[in-house]
Amino acid sequence: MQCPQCGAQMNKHAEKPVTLTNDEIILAIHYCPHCGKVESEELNGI
Amino acid sequence: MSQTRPLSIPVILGTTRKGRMSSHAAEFIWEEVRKRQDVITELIDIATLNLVVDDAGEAIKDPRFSEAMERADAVIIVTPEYNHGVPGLLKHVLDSCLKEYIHKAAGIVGVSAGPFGGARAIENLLPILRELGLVSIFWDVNFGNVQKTFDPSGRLVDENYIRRAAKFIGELIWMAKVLRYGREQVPLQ
Repeated sequence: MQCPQCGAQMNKHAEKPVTLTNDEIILAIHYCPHCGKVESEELNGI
Repeated sequence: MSQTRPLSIPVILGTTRKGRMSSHAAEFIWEEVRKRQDVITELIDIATLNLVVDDAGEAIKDPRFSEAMERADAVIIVTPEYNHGVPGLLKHVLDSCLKEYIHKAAGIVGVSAGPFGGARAIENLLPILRELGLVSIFWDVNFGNVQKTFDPSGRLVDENYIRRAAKFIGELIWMAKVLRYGREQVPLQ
C-alpha cells in the first residue's frame, strides 16, 4: 500500500481480528516508515 | 528506524472527576517526559475531548485524540482506581480508536488514595490494552496515598518518584523504539 500522505511504501505489520456487529473480519494494519501514517484495510473473515 | 522524527509519547489523564488528584500525577509524569531528548509529548485530558455517550467505539472518534494516537509511538495512561477498576470514561475514550494503537507501547501510571497505588486498576487495564493492540511494559508508576504524595498545589512531596518515573520512562522509550522499528521495517509473514 502507498502512503496516502507522503506516497512512501507502507509496511504491513499486523493483522488484527475484530468483531463488527454481525461479522468477524481481519483488519490489516499498514505503517508508513517515512511519515508515521497508519492505514487499515478490511480483509475477508476468518 | 527513522532518524528524522522524534518519538511521540502523549500522556493521557484518564479521569474527569472533579477534585481529581490524578491530574497532579499526570502533570508530574508529563514534565518528566518533556525532559527527555528526542521525545515530543502532550498532555491529553479526557475531560476536554468531545465524545458523546449515546454511542461508543470508533463511531465516536474525536479527531484530536485519534490524530494524537496515530502520531504516538507510545502512550502513558494515568488512571485512578475507582471501585477496583479504571474510570468508565477512560475505557470509553480508549475504545474510540483501534488501528492507531497497534504495535505501539503503553505504560500505566496508577493513582489511589489508598496504599496500593492503583494496582487493581492497572491489572484491570492490562487485558484491555492487549485487545487494543498496545504492548504494555513491565514498569508501572504507583502513586499510593496520593493526597500525601503531592501538596495541595500539586508539588511533588516524595522525591523517590523522580527515580521511579525515570526507570518507567526509560523502559517505555526502549519499547517505543523497538516497536517503531518493527512497524517501519518488519513485514508480517
